[in-house]
Amino acid sequence: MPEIDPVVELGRKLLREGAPRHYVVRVVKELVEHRDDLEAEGLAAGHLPDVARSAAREKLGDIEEVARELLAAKRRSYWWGRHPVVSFVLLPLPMFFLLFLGILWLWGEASGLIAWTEHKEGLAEPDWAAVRVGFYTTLSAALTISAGFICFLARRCCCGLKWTLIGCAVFLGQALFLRTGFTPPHGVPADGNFWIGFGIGGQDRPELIAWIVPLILSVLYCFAVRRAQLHEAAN
Amino acid sequence: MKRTNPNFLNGVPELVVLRLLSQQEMYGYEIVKAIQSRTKDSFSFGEGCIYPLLHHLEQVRLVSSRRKEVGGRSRYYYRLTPRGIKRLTELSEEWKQVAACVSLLMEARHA
Repeated sequence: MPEIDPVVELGRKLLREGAPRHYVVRVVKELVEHRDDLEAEGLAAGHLPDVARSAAREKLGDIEEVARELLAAKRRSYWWGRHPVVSFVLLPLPMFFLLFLGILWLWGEASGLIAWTEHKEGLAEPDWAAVRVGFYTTLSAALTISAGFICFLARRCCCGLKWTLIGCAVFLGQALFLRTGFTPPHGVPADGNFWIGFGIGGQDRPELIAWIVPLILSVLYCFAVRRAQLHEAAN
Repeated sequence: MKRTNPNFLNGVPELVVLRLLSQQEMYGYEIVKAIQSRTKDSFSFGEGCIYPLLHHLEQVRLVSSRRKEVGGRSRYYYRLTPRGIKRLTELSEEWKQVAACVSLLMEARHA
């Protein structure tokens, strides 16, 4: 069985943890060059090639530990990486709410719905079926963007699969208990209403989208990571 | 037996690397050799552990790197940034204070 080069193994480990490819290529290049220099030093000192090679590996130190320190250094460089609990447990909830309300407001302004609620006279009543579709599309978009951002953040600061899945699990958890919707005014002013909050039971079918989206995202993410690993292993 | 990469004294590896890079730009292997020769091999560490430190210093913009070809070989050279120069001044001052305090303690013990 061929011996696995520890530096190549370090590269694979970094990729698995989500380090960017260009960064991994650079780290591997630097370590291989360093090892080559150490080997050349051994050969110049009159050692046999095998002895020089094994001495070079020994001088380079524990590659596993180098990988751990590289990942820790990468994590330390980002605020998100230094505070994973805040970033992946506490942040998703307010981020989703702000994003959802923000997109909802933009969509309401763009579609003229807000203008209609403020000045009903002279304006045609919106198509409430279309509004309903728009509302749940906005909800789904907010969840997709927030969950996608959390996945991106976890990869960006090398926090690994664990924190990515924790972030997605927080989305899943909140989406399972999320209750939101609206009732159209049906011609009676101030009769319609909009609600958002948490509750148990009585979840509408469109609300199921709210938890299916992050679930699909996390599964796709796992597949993407796995595929990247296999691709790197093949190369 | 594999060498381990012990945690250096806090701030010392940073100070040592910044000090060396303040004199000239260097690549990883060169930095390690400079540390070994100037400290007469007093520090024993796995040489690979220089890279996490260099990359951290680069991330916090205390050093910058560039690929440069010298003698037919292309390598990543590191050099100090203006922020790194400022940090080196701060660390040097702190180190001088610590060294002075320790000296005072040692002298007091022998007195």
